[in-house]
Order: sequence, then C-alpha cells, then structure tokens
Amino acid sequence: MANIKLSHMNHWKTIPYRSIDNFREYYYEDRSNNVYFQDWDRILRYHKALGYDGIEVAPWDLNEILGLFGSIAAFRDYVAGHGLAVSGMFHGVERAHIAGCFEQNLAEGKAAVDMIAALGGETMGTCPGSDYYSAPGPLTEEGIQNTAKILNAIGEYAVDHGVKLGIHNEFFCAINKDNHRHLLEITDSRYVFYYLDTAQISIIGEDVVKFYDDYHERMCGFHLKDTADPKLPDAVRYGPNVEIQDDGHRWFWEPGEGVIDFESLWKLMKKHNFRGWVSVEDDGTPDLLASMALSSYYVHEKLKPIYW
Amino acid sequence: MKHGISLQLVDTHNQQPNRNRRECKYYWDELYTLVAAGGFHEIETPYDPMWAFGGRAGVPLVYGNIKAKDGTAESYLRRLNAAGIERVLGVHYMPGMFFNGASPTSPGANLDGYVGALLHFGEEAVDYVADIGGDYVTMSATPKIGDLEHAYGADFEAGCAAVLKATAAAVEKLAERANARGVKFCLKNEFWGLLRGEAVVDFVKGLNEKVWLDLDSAELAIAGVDPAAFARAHAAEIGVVHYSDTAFVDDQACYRQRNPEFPAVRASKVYRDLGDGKLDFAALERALTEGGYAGAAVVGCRDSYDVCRSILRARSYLNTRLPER
Repeated sequence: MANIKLSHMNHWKTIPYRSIDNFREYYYEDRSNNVYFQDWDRILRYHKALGYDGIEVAPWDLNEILGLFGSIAAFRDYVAGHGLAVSGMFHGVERAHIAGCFEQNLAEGKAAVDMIAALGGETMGTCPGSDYYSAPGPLTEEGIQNTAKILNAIGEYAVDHGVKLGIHNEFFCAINKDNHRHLLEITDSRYVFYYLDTAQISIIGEDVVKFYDDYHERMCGFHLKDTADPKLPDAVRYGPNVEIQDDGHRWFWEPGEGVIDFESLWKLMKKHNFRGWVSVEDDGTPDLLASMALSSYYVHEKLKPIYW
Repeated sequence: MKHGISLQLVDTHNQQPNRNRRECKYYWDELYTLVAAGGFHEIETPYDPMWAFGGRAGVPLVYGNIKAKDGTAESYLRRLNAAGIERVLGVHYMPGMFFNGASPTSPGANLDGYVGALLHFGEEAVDYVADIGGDYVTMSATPKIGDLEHAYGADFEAGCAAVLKATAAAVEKLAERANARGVKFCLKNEFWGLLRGEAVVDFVKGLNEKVWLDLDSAELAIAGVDPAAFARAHAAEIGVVHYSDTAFVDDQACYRQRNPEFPAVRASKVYRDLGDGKLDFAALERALTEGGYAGAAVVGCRDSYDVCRSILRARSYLNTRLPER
C-alpha cells in the first residue's frame, strides 16, 4: 500500500450539474468546450484519469453539492463510485484571535468536522484566523493565545471524530512569519497538526524544506503548490485584498512550475516516513484540467520515484 | 428606445475556462472598453453580495469593492466614462445567497438572517445607484422555490407565506429609501421564484410604497407568460426592461429544482445570447413603445460562454432585427 495518497483541491467553482446525460445534445446547443466542465461526473472522471486518488472539498461547494446530491452521504458514495475518496475539506476560522468569537467559531468548526467525517475525509486544513489587514495585525500575545485555544478545541473534537485539524498558513493571514511557529508550538500536539501549503509557507518567508524538517511530527497533510514569489515583503503580504492582484499576477503555480525544491522535500518525507494525503492545489489557474494534468505529471514522474 | 447591456453576461459563479480572470480588476477594466466598442454605452451591473467576502475587491459588483478601488462612486464613474461607458443605468440585486447560504449544514430556514442581510445589502445597493446617478435597483424578488421547499419541507405553504410577508415589509423599506433618493425600486420575478409570471403584479400592487415591475423577457417566457402581452398590460408599471433570450421550455418542473438555471433532467443553457433563442423582441419593443414605456431596454446575455461574442451578437441583432429607434 502506498504511503502517499494524491488528492486535488477542488477549485472548480462552481459545478452546476451532477451528471449531464444528454451530453451530445447539450454540446450542440453552443458547440463550445464549456460543457466539458459543468458536471461532477466528468470532473471526477478527469481526477481518476489523471492519477488522483481523491478530491478535497471546499466549503463554498457545500450548498451546490447538497442541492445536487441531496445529502453528503450521497455525494461521498458518488465520489467512491468513480474510484475516488474525499480526502478532507478546507476550513477557515474567522477572527480566531478574538475571545468573544470562540463559541461561534467552535460551533462552526464542529459543523465542519461533522461534514468531513460524513464525507469520509481525514483532514481539515484550517486557516488560523483573519487576514492581517483586517484583523488588524500584528496580533498581541493574547490574540495568539486565543487562536491556539480555539484551534485546540476544534482539534480535540476533530480527533474524536477521526479527523485531523492541520494549521494551514495563508501568506496574508494575521498568523504569519513572526508568530506562526509560536502558534504551532503553543497548541496541543495531540489535537492540532499542521497542513503544509508549500507555496503559502514559502511566500511568507519560510524555507519549506527546513520547516517540514523542523515540524515533521506535526504534519497531517499537504497542499502541494509552487510559487515564483518566495519571501514576499511584509508590506505586500500585510496589505488589503492581496490574494487577488489587480493585474492578474499569480502567486501560485503548478508543482514544478515555480522555484520550490520539491525533490528535497520529498527526500525528507521519505526520511520521516510521511504517510497520508498530499493534495495538489491548482489555485488561480485559468485551466484546471491542464493544471491537474501538469501537476500529476510532475508528481508521478519527478517525486514518486523518490518516495511514494 | 435606448439599449444598455447587463454585465451579468459575465458568469462569476460557474466553472468555465479562464474563470479566474474574472476575480481580477484588470478583467473588468478591459471589459468596459470592449462593451463600449460593441456600441453599448450604458450598463447594468449585478449587485452580488457574494463579492463582498473573500477579499475579491477587484470585482466591481458591490459598493464596498468600488470604494476600495476607486474611493467614491463618482470616481468610478469617471473611470467608466474614460473607457466609453457613459452611465450605470442600475443594478440587479441578488440576495438569494443568504437564504440557507450561510450555513449549508443547517436543515431549516433562516428567514430572519435572510431578511437582515437582504436589507443590509439592499440599502447599500440603493445608495450606490443613487450616488452613481443610476435609475433603478431591480431585486430578485424571492429565494428559489427549490430552496424554499428544501428549507420548509412539510411546512412549505406556511413558510412561503412567511417569506412573502417578510419580503413585502423589506421591499417597502428599501423602496422608501429608493424613492427618497430618486431611484426606482423594481422586482425581478425569476421563473424559479414565488412571484414568477404574473404573480408579481398583484404583489406589487399590495405594497405601501411605490415599487416597479422588471419585465425580463426570458423570465416571463419560461414561466409561460408572453412578454409582449405583459408589456401591453402593464407598461405604465414597468420600471426596467430586460431583453433576455431563451429557447428553454420548462417541461421538467425546473422552476422547483435547487439549481433551476441548470435543468437537472436534461441539461440546457437556459439563458441565450440575443437572437440565439426564440423570443420576438420586435414584437416586445412595439408593445412597450405603444404602451408608453420610455425607459431603456437592457440586453441580458446572462452567464455567457463567450463574453465578446455575446456583446457582438447583441449588437448585430439590434442593428439588423429591431426597427429604427
């Protein structure tokens, strides 16, 4: 059995059909390629064809999923029917640094864990708070402690339900270069893990390979993506609305298309015997199918020979 | 009759190749120039609260984003003018995401939350249109029937009655604000809503504030109403007209589905480019003119597969198929 299971983070926003059974008729309405990207059936088939073992669900998909499939269980079974599994779901804890938001965040976190468990997923990559600009940063020690407290609480519930909460940095978060190691170290390692987004952590200024080596015992999964913008200046990361740039500049690229040393990372994963999900995240791509293929090629041809 | 165009031709919700560009300011900046090059100098924009969240300030579909990038409505309008767009005619406000949207895991209805959010963003929409010198806000009148059935279950009838009562009160508040600011508040009766077809007419008549009708040709036709007949009957009450084409015949009770604009039983593109469907816009325009409608007609090529093609198709249709204006 493989040590690594390959998933793909769902950025197919939004998939409006469950299955298009009158595909030829529908195609001839407009004769465009749009129809190839509109139903879960085909998109799941693309996953399987391109060598993915699973799909990672996004919370913004849930409304449409429930509308199309009627229940989470039905969606889980539909995915399984395509030879795939749901690896997990992304979650964000807004205003984690504010004590007054604890109860609401706990309720929402538990609901997300329940959803992941119902999906058969194992991971909850979790953004640990608001963006730096609106928080606003820098966070006080009290704010960091509050963040740790809510993550511990959600994380304990998650572990009790077979799910692992992993801190997932965003390069524009209030939890950032100066405090994210501190946050990780004050959380309870029984309940709070780390979900390593290789591009995000590079952009905030960490060396991905060293970071993984330092915290390999806490790792519960990966968002695998590349970047051409490592060590982005604070002034950029801490500004308003930075994730989407006005000029269309892309922070993220397919693995192998940027500057991250994935091969060294993979050698360490072998050294530390990582077992679990690696979720490719083709965030911000103009063509998800092309990016899924490119990413899969790189993973299977360049990384798999090192460790799998 | 003057013709504007709705920027709802840009699908900001569903998957398409190159969808990511639509979250960037540069995409919209160029779009204004392309719209103008297509001979359209007055636009309607969606007012879509979804874009108030998630840090996508480059998407100009809520007032907060416009302020984030341009500071004021006036400044944004100057930028539109420089691109060849003379006016923002109005907005299509869509509060439906707040009905069961905030908590997809919650099985019940959240009517109070829906109304609260509807009023918050609705007031914002009215202020935006007033500040930018527009004419109207047209609001999707109710949540989808499919969402209401899912939320209320066996209590569907009682639930819908509660929704309509709450909607009436909210619409009166928004209309009062709009009327005070010289903006027409209109209701759009999508084929999938509780006020589909002719139902919107009596609803509007029963309100305590002046509210106008939105004649959307595709929405009426799919609900089984002849748009030209509707125009003749209600021209004096129409605040805005949408020339929206369709070839869709709802023979699958699509109007009750959870995602009705994507028919679940047999896939079809519900909204088509102007001239690509089956509606008779010459007859509609005659009916409007004869009925004394003096406003603009907004071309709606909703959720286009090819935005530039849709703009040019609309221009070609207007140039060749409609009588001299």
